[in-house]
Amino acid sequence: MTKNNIQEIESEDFPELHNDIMQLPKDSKLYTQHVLNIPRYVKFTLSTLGLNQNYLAENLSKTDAEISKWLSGKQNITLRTISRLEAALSIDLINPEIKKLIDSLKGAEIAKSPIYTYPTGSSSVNYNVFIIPSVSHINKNIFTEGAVPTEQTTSINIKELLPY
Amino acid sequence: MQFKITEIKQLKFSKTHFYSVRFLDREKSEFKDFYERMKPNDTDFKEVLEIVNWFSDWANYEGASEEFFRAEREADRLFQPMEFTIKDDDQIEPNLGLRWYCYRLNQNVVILFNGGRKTHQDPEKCDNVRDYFLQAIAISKALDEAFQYGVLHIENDFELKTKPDSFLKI
Repeated sequence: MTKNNIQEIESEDFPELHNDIMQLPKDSKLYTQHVLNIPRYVKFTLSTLGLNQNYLAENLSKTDAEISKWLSGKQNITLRTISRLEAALSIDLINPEIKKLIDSLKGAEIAKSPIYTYPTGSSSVNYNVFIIPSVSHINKNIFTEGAVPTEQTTSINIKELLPY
Repeated sequence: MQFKITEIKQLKFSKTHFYSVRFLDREKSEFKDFYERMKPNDTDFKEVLEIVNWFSDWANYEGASEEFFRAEREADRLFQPMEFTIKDDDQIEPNLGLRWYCYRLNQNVVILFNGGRKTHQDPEKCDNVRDYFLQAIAISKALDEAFQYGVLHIENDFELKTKPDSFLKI
């Protein structure tokens, strides 16, 4: 087909792709989400707090290159690394409810980032809590279930997400 | 060998559209050939699906950022995270994972080629990927020239267009 001296390229239909992806084991789907979502959340937190990767490099005694590998998802990070990131940024990365937060973050505008103080026994831990206004649109992975746009203001309190 | 660019209907996302190439003497695209060759092997096919699931996520969120690719001479490959999960100290040879070659034009356009499971550090010494590795480099060079001379161009950020009666070849 030729239009305005331009030739349309050919198209290939691949209907079985969607069904095949839906058969992927749940742990595989979760793994690919974690690989992307944990670096996304760390980068988002840095941005919201006005920090950059140098902050993490200095606080974790790592090189910029190492931090960059973690945040690009190019290096599988260990639980130790996750714990160090959580400590450095006062965030919770492995809470099972974190996926809901990440889904909300996609396409969301962040209004402000107050600090919530959560008491744990004799000491206290500060967790960063992000208030998320209306999410007008979420770019949903067509192969993944569960990304639901919310029309109302969403306030996520880290206290409600913690298991204790 | 002459080839055409092929749009993959099921791989058009909000931030990135994926294409492939089809050689004129073949019925299916290199993407489809790769997919169907991997399908009989459960391990390989699961990894392919994980990669598709992975890139379908970032293709809707970040787009095709450089961090998701690694250069393979003039070509690229999808830099899937799965290869880091299959390291086994007991293995005599490291499992180097699947290599899925491609051409990353920009955040919006990726052209998928063929690939296979890499079994040697040097892809040219790996029986599984050698041909696809060299093919990816050749196609990428041809695509570079095609964009440079206007044989190929992009419209509306995502749509690849070619000049009428033009052809691409390696």
